[in-house]
Amino acid sequence: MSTSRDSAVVKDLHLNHNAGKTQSRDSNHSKKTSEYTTSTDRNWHGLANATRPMTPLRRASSADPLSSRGRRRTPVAQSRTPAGVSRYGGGSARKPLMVTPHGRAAQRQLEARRTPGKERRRSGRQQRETPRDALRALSRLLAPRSQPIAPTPTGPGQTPNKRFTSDDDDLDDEVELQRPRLSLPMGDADDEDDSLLLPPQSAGLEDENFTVQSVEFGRRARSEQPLSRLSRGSFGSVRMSDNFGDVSALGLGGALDESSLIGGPLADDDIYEMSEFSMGVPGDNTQTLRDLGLAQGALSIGRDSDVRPLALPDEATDNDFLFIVPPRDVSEEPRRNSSRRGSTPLSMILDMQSEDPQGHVEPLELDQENLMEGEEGEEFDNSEHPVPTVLYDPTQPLDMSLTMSVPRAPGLVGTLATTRKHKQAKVSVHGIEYPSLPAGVVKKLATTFARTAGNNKTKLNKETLDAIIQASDWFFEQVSDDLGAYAEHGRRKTIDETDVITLMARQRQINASNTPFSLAQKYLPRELLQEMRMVPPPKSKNQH
Amino acid sequence: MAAGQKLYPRATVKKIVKAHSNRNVSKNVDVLIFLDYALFLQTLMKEATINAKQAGERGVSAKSVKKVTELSLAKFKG
Repeated sequence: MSTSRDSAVVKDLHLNHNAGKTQSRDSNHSKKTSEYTTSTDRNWHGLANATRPMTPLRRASSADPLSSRGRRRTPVAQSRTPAGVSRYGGGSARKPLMVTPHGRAAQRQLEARRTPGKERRRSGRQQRETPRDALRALSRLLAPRSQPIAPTPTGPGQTPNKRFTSDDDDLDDEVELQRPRLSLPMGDADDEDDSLLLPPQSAGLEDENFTVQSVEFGRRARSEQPLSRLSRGSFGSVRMSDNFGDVSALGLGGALDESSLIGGPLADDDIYEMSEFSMGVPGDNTQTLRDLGLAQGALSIGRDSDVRPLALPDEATDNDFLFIVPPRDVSEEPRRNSSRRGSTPLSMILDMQSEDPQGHVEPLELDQENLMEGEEGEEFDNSEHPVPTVLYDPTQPLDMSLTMSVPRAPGLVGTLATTRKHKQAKVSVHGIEYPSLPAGVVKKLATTFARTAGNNKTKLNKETLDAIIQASDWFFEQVSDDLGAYAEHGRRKTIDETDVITLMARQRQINASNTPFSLAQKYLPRELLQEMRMVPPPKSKNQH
Repeated sequence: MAAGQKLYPRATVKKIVKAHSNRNVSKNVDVLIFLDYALFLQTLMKEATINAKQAGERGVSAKSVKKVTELSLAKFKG
């Protein structure tokens, strides 16, 4: 309680005082303490403002309530203690009570009962006496003195650094041992990244890297992205010859743009790859790796590769490509055909070929990503690229990649697209030709629905209709896929009504309120409705 | 709604489904499939109309149809 102490100590005392530790002392020095609090607060604020930018903020916020509490309380204590004294001391009747221990206890109880505020304070004191509070008090004590330590978070640059460096100097021998342990994940990783990456690369290149190729699926993913929305594998069944007219004739602003976008970088890649191949230098980076993989034709998805290995011999490049081509033809082609596209009869190809005005084979295997590119590229393949000649070879894989082809001009594409618009039967995954729904029917339906959708004077132009037909094709493919899956699940060879009902239920087209029959009544012409009703009563169907 | 419609080519629908699923299609299933298709087309056109209106087009353009194709197809994924 000495005034000579610095403000922090006084603060601490103030804390204690707040805790109500020494009630009697408080009563004796309550005036003094109140003065202290005010003065200390003042000092405190002064200190805070003067010295610290950070700590003061905290202090200020906590200090104010503290001080106010102290102020508020001291008068109470002041007023109360005299009263208590007068009450207990003055009241002669209660003196005997105080004598006996029981009396004291009763008095304590009475006191506690009569002065709830005191009890509150006691509870508060108990709380403050927790170790945490002790630490807090200590911190408050230390905080003003430990200013330089305060910046520890930001500080490592200043004082701690010196410490560390000194430690390093002291422990030089040990540090060398410790360093690897501490920084091993960091430093070694950096070092090893290169070393780890490099060997596989070189090894892969030397060994006709199958692993790298299998890992590198980037080409497909890259070009797949923009067109991914267009289909779910449906492009596989849509021959380029079909789509060529449709999609590009649709003048899909977006699609064409995408194709041009795709074409640009790919063309660059082609150039890059060509130079690379001519030099016969295996590239270090993954790009070249992937390109090599593509060129070698071992990449499973690399339809581009079909062209490339053929082109490379022309350029008199490494033999590797020639060697690697066969394995892909043997292993990859069958798998791909069986799993993804299904093999197309050669006769059909030849038919398509003959039908093709350009007179070259249409690529039968078109990936979604290749579609757009292919449309553009194939024109140029005829004129400029030597490769297409090889495509006539029946033994060659029938898919062709157009990313390989020479950079193309979008303008030409447009004109060519419009010129070659012929109807061709599409071939499904299973190699079965199928027609698409007649445009008239689709148009009528679509117009009807567009009108109901709120567009009263709907005129569907050709492009829109083509887009709708395309969507219809995809829809049918998707639905048929699902239906086939359902039938297969039911171990049936035929798709029957239950499959369709299941499908529609899964599509959330059918629910309790929407029975297939009600939907049919809504959407189907009467004749069809009767058909539906006649053969299998829809009610029974609904019960399935 | 589709009152004055003429019959759609049932054989065509059947053929399409058969080609895609590589399975036989039982009788009259094509009606249901066509019904489903009608629902799909309705969804497609509705979405396309909305899209077109949002884009400020007057009619329904191929672009808007293209844009909503994937979404509509996803809705009709069994």
